[in-house]
Amino acid sequence: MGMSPALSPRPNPPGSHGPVNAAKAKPLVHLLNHKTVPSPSLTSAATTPGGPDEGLAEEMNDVVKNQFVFGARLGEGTYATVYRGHYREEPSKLVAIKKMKKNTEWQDGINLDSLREMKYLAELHHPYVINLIAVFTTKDENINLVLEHLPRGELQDIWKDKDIAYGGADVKAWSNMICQGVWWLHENFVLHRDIKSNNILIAADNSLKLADFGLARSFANPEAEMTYNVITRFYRPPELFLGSSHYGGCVDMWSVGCVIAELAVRDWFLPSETDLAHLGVITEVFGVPTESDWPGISKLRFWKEQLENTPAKRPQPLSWWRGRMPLIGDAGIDLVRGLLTMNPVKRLTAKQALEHHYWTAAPKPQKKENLPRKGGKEAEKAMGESLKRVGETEDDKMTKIARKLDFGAMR
Amino acid sequence: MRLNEDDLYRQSTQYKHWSFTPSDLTRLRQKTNAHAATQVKLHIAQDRVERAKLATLDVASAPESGADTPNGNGAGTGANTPVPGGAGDKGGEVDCLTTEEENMVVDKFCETAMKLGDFLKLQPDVTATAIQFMRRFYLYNSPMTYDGTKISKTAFFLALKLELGTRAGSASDFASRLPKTSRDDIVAPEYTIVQALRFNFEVRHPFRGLKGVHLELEDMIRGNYAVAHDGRTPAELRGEALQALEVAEEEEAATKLGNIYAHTKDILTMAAQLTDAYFLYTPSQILLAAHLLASPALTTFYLATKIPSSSPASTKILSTLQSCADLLSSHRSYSKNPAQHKLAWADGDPPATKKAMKKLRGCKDPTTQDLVALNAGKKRDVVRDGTLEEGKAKRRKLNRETAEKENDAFWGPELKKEG
Repeated sequence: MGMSPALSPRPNPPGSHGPVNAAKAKPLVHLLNHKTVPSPSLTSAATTPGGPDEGLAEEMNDVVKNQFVFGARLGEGTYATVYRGHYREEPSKLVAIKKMKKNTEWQDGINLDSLREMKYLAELHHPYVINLIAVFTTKDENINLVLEHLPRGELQDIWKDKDIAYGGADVKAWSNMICQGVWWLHENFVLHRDIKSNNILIAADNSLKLADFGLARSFANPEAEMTYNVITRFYRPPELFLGSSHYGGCVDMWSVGCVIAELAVRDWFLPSETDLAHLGVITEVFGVPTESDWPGISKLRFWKEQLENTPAKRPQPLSWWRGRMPLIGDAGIDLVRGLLTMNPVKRLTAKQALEHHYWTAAPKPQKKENLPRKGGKEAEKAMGESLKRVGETEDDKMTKIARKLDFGAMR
Repeated sequence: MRLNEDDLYRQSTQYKHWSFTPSDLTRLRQKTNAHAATQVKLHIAQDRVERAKLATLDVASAPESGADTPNGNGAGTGANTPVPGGAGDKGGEVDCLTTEEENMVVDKFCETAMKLGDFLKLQPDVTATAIQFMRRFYLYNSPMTYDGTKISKTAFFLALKLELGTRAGSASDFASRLPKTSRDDIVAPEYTIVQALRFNFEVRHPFRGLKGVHLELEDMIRGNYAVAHDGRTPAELRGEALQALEVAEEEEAATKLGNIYAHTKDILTMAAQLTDAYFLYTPSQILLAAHLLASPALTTFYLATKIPSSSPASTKILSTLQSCADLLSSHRSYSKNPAQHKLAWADGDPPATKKAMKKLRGCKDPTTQDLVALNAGKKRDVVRDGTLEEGKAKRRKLNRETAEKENDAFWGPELKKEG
């Protein structure tokens, strides 16, 4: 295959001095559970808490820190090192601790990806979103994110591993968990902006968990201008290639469509070599959109250069879809096509996706405990490896340089 | 699954970690104050001992004539360490701020921050987030420990990053827009701040809902609103809305509505930021309370389109809104007729605030004034010994510079800034 979905379009970490092509660490395991992070005891007598040199904030931090014990190192990236960890009181309860590296954060302080990840995960608690259990600093002022331990690797490993057999019921169960997780984000006015099968991790009970919130942002303010240079290429919707800078949950829903299609075909669904070529790949399947099926499209920033002179093309017929995705049946195909609707206004929202007849059509979604998965040891290794993944192609290097130079890029 | 806004709000860190009853809020502040006062007294005493030692050393090693040099209070030595009360430190009992005085000082810091945001022409969201970060920070830290000017610069940069993402610009860009500020000044206190913020960065601002309320009101005035719970027709709602605004025509209504919008927004971006409103009330309560101040009749009408005025909940809600409105209108920025220059009220300080600010000068913790040095990895050393370990600092600086050079070797040096 030899093709990679390209790195997320995010700039290099500010002040990163590491090897140029070292991969960004991946959030692994992740609810800022207020029960585990008690306020400094209001009830205790107001004497000096902590040591004589500690303030209340430090005291609070120490309470959190002392709940966890660091274990083996699982992986290391440009931004962070990830360790296995466990609760001090309950050693069998595992966590993953993501220790943010400080040197990469020097120029502009704590990097944006970490801030965003902490900001959004602290607000979002859902069975299908990675759980941020706590955050603390260690004395050298490294920030540590305590995340839930997700030992079964990534969703991508499942479809890539030809030794794992799965069927329509399994795809349905996975797809539904993804849609529920994304629905929750959107109800909370948060866009993920980097949904892809290797940002979806698998818990011990086979639940899927949306992870990596480094590109997430709020979309509560409809006037705010947002970047179109976001979402990993294979999963990026057409409106972003056309330069749309006002959008909502629809961008994530396109990515969800790509992930479900990927599970159905056990391969990349819309692979391409470059950003410029990708819109061509999309129109190959979905036809060339016109003002009549997408009113307003010709007003988008890059429409002239990207589409104006493209010869008309019809979308692939239903028979093409039936040929490619027998695994999910007509109902599944209808859902995927609803999610992969070119016009973002007509695309299914997360709520509409959850109301789709696919979920109630036969077969029933697989029970969680019966979902196929990688073996225990192998999968834990995969968790470590996913962190170390390095974008080493020349193409990636060039992209990174381009990003470094793209001062105006917004997110 | 049915979700309402209350359920969503109860998931937020603002609700879980930053909402208090008035008595909890007072107790937390008393605890912070008591703790800081102990530290301040301890550190000033240590500082005096240190100074006395240095003074003796100076005397001992000075040339013969030096023996006559008056060096009573040691103000001439160790000039790097801020001295409580400066040369005027008589070495007597340190008079620490009370909780009330701390509140006044923090309010003053926040007012200054608001002026800074105005001066830098930052979006209201950024300024409001920065101010709320400061208010949250000073629940767990005393202004005697951390200087408001320094904390505000970093709070602003943090708010910029969180609200604007990569458009926030770099720390050095931001520093260059501020007087006598380096990138280190911006970045150094960040860890101290994020720790006190408990790594919670989402602030739910009441003004974010204002536009929505007004879109609904506009619809009602045009007779296009049809979802009243009590079966009132759009035409009836239109009539009542016009009556609440005391106008007969839609055009007049639109002008009046515009004024109410602007007034509410002023209250939300000033008084709501500079009081404990965010700690004591929910965003929607603050929004409606501000609206109540701007137009009682219209707000009562609007509420009744959501909850029947006969419902017991309605009475309860109105009394909560009224108490929140009282808090907002108690702030000196509140005016019934918004002035042209919105921050004019902040030009002078009340006498009590002036007095507290003056008192603060005599009770600052000497170990936490140089935040850049504290951050340079010497935190504990500084705190414990009251002195800097220069060797360590130099080594770190060297490592940093080497790393930067290596980076530059690949990327080319950083672009020189113009001007």
